[in-house]
Amino acid sequence: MKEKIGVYVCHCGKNIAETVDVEEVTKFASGLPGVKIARHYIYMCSEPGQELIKKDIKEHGLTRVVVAACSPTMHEPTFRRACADGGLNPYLCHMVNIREHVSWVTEDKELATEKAMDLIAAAVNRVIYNEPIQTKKLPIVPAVLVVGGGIAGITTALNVAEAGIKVYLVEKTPSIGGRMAQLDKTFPTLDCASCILTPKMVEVAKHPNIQILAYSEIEEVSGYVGNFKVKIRKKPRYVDESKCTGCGTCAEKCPVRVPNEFDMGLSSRKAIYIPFPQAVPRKYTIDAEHCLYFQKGVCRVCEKFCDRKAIDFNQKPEIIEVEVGAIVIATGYDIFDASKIPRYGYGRFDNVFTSLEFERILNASGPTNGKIVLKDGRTPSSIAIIHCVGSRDENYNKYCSRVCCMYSLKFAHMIKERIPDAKVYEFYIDMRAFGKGYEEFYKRVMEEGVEIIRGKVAEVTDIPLTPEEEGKLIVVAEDTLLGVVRRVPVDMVILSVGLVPRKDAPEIARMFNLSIGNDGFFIEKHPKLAPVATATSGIFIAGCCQGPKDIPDTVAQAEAAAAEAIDLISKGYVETEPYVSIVDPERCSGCRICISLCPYGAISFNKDKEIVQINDALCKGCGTCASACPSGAIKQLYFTDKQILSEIAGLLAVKKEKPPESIVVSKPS
Amino acid sequence: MQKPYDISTRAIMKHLGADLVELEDWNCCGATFYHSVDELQALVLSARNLALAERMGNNLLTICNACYTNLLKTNMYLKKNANLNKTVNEILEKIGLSYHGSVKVRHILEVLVNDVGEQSIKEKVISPLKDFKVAPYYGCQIVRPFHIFDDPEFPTSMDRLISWIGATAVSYPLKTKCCGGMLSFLNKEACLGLIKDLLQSAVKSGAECIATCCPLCQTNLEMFQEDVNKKYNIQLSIPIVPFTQLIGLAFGLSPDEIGLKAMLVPLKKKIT
Amino acid sequence: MRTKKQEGLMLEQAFKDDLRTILDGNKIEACLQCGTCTASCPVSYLMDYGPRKLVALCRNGMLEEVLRSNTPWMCVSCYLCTTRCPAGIRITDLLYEIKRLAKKSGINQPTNGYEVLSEKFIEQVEKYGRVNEMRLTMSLILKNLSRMFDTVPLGLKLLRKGRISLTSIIKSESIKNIKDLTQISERIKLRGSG
Ligand SMILES: Cc1cc2nc3c(=O)[nH]c(=O)nc-3n(C[C@H](O)[C@H](O)[C@H](O)COP(=O)(O)OP(=O)(O)OC[C@H]3O[C@@H](n4cnc5c(N)ncnc54)[C@H](O)[C@@H]3O)c2cc1C
Repeated sequence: MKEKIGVYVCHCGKNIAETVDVEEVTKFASGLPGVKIARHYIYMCSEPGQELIKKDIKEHGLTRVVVAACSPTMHEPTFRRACADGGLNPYLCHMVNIREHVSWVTEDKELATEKAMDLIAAAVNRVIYNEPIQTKKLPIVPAVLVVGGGIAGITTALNVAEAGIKVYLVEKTPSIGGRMAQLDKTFPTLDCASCILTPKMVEVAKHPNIQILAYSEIEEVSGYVGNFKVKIRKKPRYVDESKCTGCGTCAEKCPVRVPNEFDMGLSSRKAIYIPFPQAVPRKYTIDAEHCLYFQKGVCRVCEKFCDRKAIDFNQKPEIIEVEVGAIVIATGYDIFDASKIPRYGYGRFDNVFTSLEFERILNASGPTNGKIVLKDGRTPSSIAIIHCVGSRDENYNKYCSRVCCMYSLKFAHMIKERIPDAKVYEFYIDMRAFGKGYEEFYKRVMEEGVEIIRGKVAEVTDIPLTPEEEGKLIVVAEDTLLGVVRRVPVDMVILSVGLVPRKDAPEIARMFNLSIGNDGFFIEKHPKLAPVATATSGIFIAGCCQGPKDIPDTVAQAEAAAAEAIDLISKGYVETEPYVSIVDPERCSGCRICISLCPYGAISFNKDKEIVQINDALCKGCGTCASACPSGAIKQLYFTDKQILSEIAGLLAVKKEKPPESIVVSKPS
Repeated sequence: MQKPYDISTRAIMKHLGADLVELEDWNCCGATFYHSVDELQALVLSARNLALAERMGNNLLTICNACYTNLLKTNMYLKKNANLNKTVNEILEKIGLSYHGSVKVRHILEVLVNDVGEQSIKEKVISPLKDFKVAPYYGCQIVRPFHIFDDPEFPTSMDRLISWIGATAVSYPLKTKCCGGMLSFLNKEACLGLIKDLLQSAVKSGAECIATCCPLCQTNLEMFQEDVNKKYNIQLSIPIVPFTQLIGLAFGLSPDEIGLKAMLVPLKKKIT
Repeated sequence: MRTKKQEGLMLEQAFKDDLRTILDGNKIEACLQCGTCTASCPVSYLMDYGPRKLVALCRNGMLEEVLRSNTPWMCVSCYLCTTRCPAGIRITDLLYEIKRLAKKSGINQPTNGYEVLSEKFIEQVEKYGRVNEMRLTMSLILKNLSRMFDTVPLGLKLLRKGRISLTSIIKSESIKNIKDLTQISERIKLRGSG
């Protein structure tokens, strides 16, 4: 045997060593053919652990390394780097997972030890046939695509642009701003949402490195980290953006009234509109679904009154293609549909509102100019706020939506401020005031005389049982701290609805190759250590599309995503996939079966030579072509037949000290 | 005591051309009582009925909410718990039966709304119950705990059915609130309170009659109206009829055919 | 003689075992104590604890209190608590379980006549295979659960309307294979199951 193999068995503290007998395993490994040295160590990933490998390579002239430790997704790069530092091609190092695959999932120590030995035997047998692999460095397109123009997308865009990198900010609706633009004040400091958001929106509009593509959607994504190609569909506004000054005459004259989605339907807008006064870009949009001209072929009043001749009924959707090195997804959230819980009366009773509707009611530019009033215009003298609507509930969403407790307390405070005599009730299960300054805010609201009742509301009814309940909405809940069922008559009910994924999240996930969790939100690469990266390299997530969170957390995550994107782009290159497939030109018959199967479009046909060729910048190493090739002409680096078969042979090899099962004589029963 | 519901169901189904076969030698499933004494026995009793139906090669139709829940529960428990399934079948074997879980359990309301459907019902209506306001009362166990064909608290199937026969279903919030059930035997006072709320809510919403889809609900709401009046010093007199009778009327069946004369509070002349 | 403590432990074990067999029984561990059940219950005002506290007692192993409670016996099986429970606890089924355990344990339950009613109902099922309301009511009157005075006027009315018949009490016809039900009962008693 010409190869000299080093085997390293990690204890991972007690994670492995408690279940696997590492000493026995090491002893076993040292007896395997080709093994020059076998060691075990408490933390192989630590500096001294890595040093062991480097030293052994030099001193013992190791030509192959096997590390039996945790999952390769965790530390393969670590050990490959150590080998490279020691002067060995990193792909001559192979990892065995004896933690996730063995110690964490096996109770019996003996069985665990045996399994660890088997896996190591397999690795030793395969590593002999490992071949050095050289990767290539490819240039990166110095531009970033940000999808979603809420506070998350805005923050990321600004940070990236400030680093001197080009940003395309794609927003689905006619204006950037997202949900934050709809809010009145923000907990716990009560800054006015617009006051802190509008300057940022303006900054985005003015930034020379940012191109806003509002009223646009992603059509198609291709390419790979560093070199994505994105097709964006710009929907027709039927208004020439270069001519529109945002004067608003068109909307003034437009005869059609439509429920205003920005006010959650509590007010109306015209068929030509800007979503809200501070909209960016401040360009009008014709809502073709409601426009008389598009629906009935008549009217065109807006066109008549537009001095700048900006109205263009013939505008067509436009496809814009951009190339970017990194992508940040920040598509945000929707709110839980309260009508799914009919017992809370939403849609049945006039004065039951969702929290987002109430934000609009509170807002000075909202449907009631900031006055808290009932549907009939009266001022309410009592208001109940119901927490956890659609959250923490196995019937709807299991997760906690994280912001509702705080915004509910904010509501109580705002009501007390505007109607000091009003009775305000908060019905909660657990009060989650976890952030900086949040608990203090909770105390403050309590001191303001808000009645805080611990109990989940069973129902809201309009059937009175006593004269005081006549004409009221009665909120029924058990005050669980008193152990009494209470019926609280109020004028208005606010439902603190939870945050849910955007309806098109699955579609976005498919396009960008993201994973979606059980809760429907996008999943980050690692819940602690890689909070904004995703399983697809070069694509990051930020804000509520990853899970419910408040503005401080959203901004922190957005800045992290920006930093990751800047990091990637400033490195200047990406390394190609090592495990690409290669074609043996001698054996390729030119049948082209592989071309139709390749999901990445990496294979093309060379007409001159009449064989296929693989673009290793596009190849992701999935191996589909290699297994499909009828003449065995394609092999995938690191997963050649020889390597895999040797691994299997190693796994099945009979261990010396134990006779194989087949020759154990079973007693007659 | 539930003859009218029985008679009217058979009458309208016959009229619709449906073939109902009475389950031979069926037994009472014990309503809720066995569950309080011996779960296994409760399940076996329902399983016997299911096994009989399976042997006849039929699905099982019931007109009672409690039977419906018990049968569904048995089906579900046996499906989810293999051990239980084995035990139950061991007992069934002793009486020469076995059950393999193939029987679908259906409630008459669900069948009329979803299987027979709007068109077939409307086709048969010859005297629509115009200007007649009906409060549909679903009771509990038709939608709870298993809400298979409708919302657990705000169901609409009977509302739709009522509109198909030309009547108006009034909306009132208590349509799935409890009528007291067995409490009528145990704590009549409490039961009367629940019944009063129900009746009053229906009357307040303009109902001229309450349609029920469960024998016990029908009994409770109908029988105790006078006691409610006495206790609360009010004057309620609203007919409580199985919904199948209303369909029968709209189909032009005679009052005798659908057992209308047996009701304690008669329906208004204008529709009969 | 077992000590009180031993008996308590055995009960607790029996309860835990049973919880495992009833569907989603383990979910009581994840109860949020939010009170939806108690506030939804149409008769919780008649109950000493109500479902929420009862779940808390179960969870804390205070079985004696649980078994003495009147809460399960007041339940009308409307399942509102069950469908609304945000923790997915089948509260109605839990209450059935507690009733069964109370019977097994022999601890005196507070009675609102539930036992008599259930006994008489079951008696009818086992004797005839079906329940005749007239017969049931008569047997309840005999047990003082229903008052003759209350039922007679209503009974007469029903008789007149043909909704009940006197012959049905006298002519005690049962289902054909009533021995099936006797067999089932015997089998189950033999298993000593619960
Ligand atoms: C009632 C209520 C009150 C709140 N109050 C507070 C508070 O006081 N303080 C606080 O800190 N937090 C508060 N929050 C939370 C706050 O709203 C969020 O933290 C914040 O809005 C998250 O920002 P985002 O950018 O992640 O998402 P969003 O604001 O949802 O922005 C996402 C953007 O992406 C766009 N988009 C979506 N899909 C696509 C697509 N496919 N293509 C292109 N663009 C797309 C959307 O149109 C939107 O503009 C509150 C939440 C609610 C519901």
